[in-house]
Amino acid sequence: MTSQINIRTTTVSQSQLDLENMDFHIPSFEPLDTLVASIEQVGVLHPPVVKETEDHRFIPVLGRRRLEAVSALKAHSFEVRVVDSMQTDDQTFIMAFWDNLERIKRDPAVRAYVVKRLLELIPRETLAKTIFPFLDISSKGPKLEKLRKIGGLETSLLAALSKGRLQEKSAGILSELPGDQRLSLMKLIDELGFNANKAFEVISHLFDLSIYLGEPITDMLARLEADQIINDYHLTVTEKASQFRNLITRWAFPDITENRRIFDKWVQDIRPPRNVKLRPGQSFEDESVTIEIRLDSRSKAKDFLNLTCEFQSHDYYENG
Amino acid sequence: MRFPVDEIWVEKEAEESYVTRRILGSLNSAKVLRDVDIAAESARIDMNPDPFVKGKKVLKLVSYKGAFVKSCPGTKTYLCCGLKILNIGQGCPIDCRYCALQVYFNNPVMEVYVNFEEMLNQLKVFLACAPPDHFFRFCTGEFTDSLALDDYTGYAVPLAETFSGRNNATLEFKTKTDFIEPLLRLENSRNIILSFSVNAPGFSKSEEIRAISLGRRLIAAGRSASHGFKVGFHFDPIVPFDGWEEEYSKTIDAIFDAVRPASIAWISMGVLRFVPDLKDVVTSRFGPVRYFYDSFAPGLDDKLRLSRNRRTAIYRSLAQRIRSYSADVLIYLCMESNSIWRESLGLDMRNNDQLIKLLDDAAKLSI
Repeated sequence: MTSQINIRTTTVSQSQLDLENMDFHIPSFEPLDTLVASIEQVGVLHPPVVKETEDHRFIPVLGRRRLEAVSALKAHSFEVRVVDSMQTDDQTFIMAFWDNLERIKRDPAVRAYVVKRLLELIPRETLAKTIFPFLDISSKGPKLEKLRKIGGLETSLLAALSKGRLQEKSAGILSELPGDQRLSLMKLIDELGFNANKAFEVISHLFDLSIYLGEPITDMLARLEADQIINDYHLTVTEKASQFRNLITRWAFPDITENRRIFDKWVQDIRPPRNVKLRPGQSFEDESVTIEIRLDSRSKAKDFLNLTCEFQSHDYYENG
Repeated sequence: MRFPVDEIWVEKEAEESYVTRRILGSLNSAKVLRDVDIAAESARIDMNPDPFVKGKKVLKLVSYKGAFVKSCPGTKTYLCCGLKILNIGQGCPIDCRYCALQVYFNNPVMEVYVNFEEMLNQLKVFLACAPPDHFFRFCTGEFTDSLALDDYTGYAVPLAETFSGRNNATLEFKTKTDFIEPLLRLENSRNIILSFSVNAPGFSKSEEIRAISLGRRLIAAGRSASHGFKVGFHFDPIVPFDGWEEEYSKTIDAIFDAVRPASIAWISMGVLRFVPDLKDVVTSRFGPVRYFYDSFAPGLDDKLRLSRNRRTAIYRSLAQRIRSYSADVLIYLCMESNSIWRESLGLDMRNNDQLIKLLDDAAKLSI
């Protein structure tokens, strides 16, 4: 890494640009159209930074999106700033890192991608001292390795993570799956319109089942029960999603699902008033029931609490 | 047998301790690091994708500043046996894949607390100041294996001697080793319970890396009993892998083949439960370990547990096998609720006090 970087300004033609080269790429998952419109109207105010290769091609370092926009506008030539060709790849990537730091910190997909690239270029010990503190990443524990794996996910999955359709922990699980399985699963998640929380639930249960049963996720999804839900054209997307989620929960937690069924039947039989909700103990670990009562005023709530005094005197609280 | 130690890290405050001198003397081929070198090496180990690989061969000698006497970190939501921990160090050379300590401690190296006199003083003051009607069951095997490093530290014998003859406390050594020789040379076995962590034979072999084999542990249990010690057995964690019932039965059969029921202080059982982070650490170290992917759901303490039905069935099965050998041997459950006690052992364990009394009474038989 270096503290001083030599940069010269020059004009390059479109054909000299190598946009396929991702050596110093810091991804962005925002659409390009706004930037194209802005450049079309006011031009490129800050020339992008590039690095010249031995065969006199120019690789984007800073401002790849500006270069892509200029390219989309089919401009013949444009001004760029060129870093010293003696500058090493790790020095150049670090330059891109600092320039994009806030975005890297903000976007989990970008952060994961950058961590993966940094680990390819720079020893972990150096990163632990100089870079990771700025990303609030601990160099200890499994987190770093998980980020590295997430960073290697397909662009479509990174985009889902960036947009909040996937949680980071879901992306972590997907990164453990073979490419075909994770893409199939993500396609299904998108088709069933799961939000990020429900997507995590489904992904994590299917992954656990897959490991435990030694059965690929794609095979589980092809099971008759799942297939019937996924391909039932009489169901709305919401109905499909709900039934599919219930199925996966039943596969993952058969005992708890059965306990839930018995509990729901019991609630149905005792027919509580509409303003009362009954909840079982966590994972049915005990026989406790939480009663949630919605009252429309404080005075009614107070009256109700007074009524419960009799229960207290009978030791219904705490000890049951 | 001794566990290999490649490096000894000596903290500045630990340099003057006679325990430090003893350990350095008995491990003269190990590399010794001090002060700044420790910090640098520690940072280097932390960078390793699996810091435990090296950490379990590093012995850090520490002058411990905290309390040596602690209460077992049980939870309020399950029944807790009220064990007291005598904190002799943390981490251990055995590398059980399921070990909860992998996630509890922010440090992959083994630590030995070398200010032993201070430890003994704190212990003696604690016991002397306790109300006369209080009884304490101590154990050194909560944050480390009680005996795995004893060949280096030599703590077991003086600790046993400290407890011997007291009427208000016992000491339990809990181990996956057979390093009992120094204890067998004691003049008497009073106040001491020698406990062995046990599991199904195949599971123990594959999951308890570097532990002394189950067979040797049970031979050691038999020898301990022959020398008059009360012995304990801890089935923890119990994992319901395919064929678990038959495999755990084999271990129970072997226990009663090795030890007469009258010598057994207790047999404890605990089905695998873990904080969610442990699964990540285990997976990052060993790849996906199948049994961690079973139907674990959050329990009342937010640790992940198998369903009540499955736990009850497991406990009932093991208890039945144990009962086929002895109707009297004390069986207890680690961190379970009264309903599980009732359904699996037929005992109404309404609160911690009841459980504590049950175990205290059993421990008092060793006095």
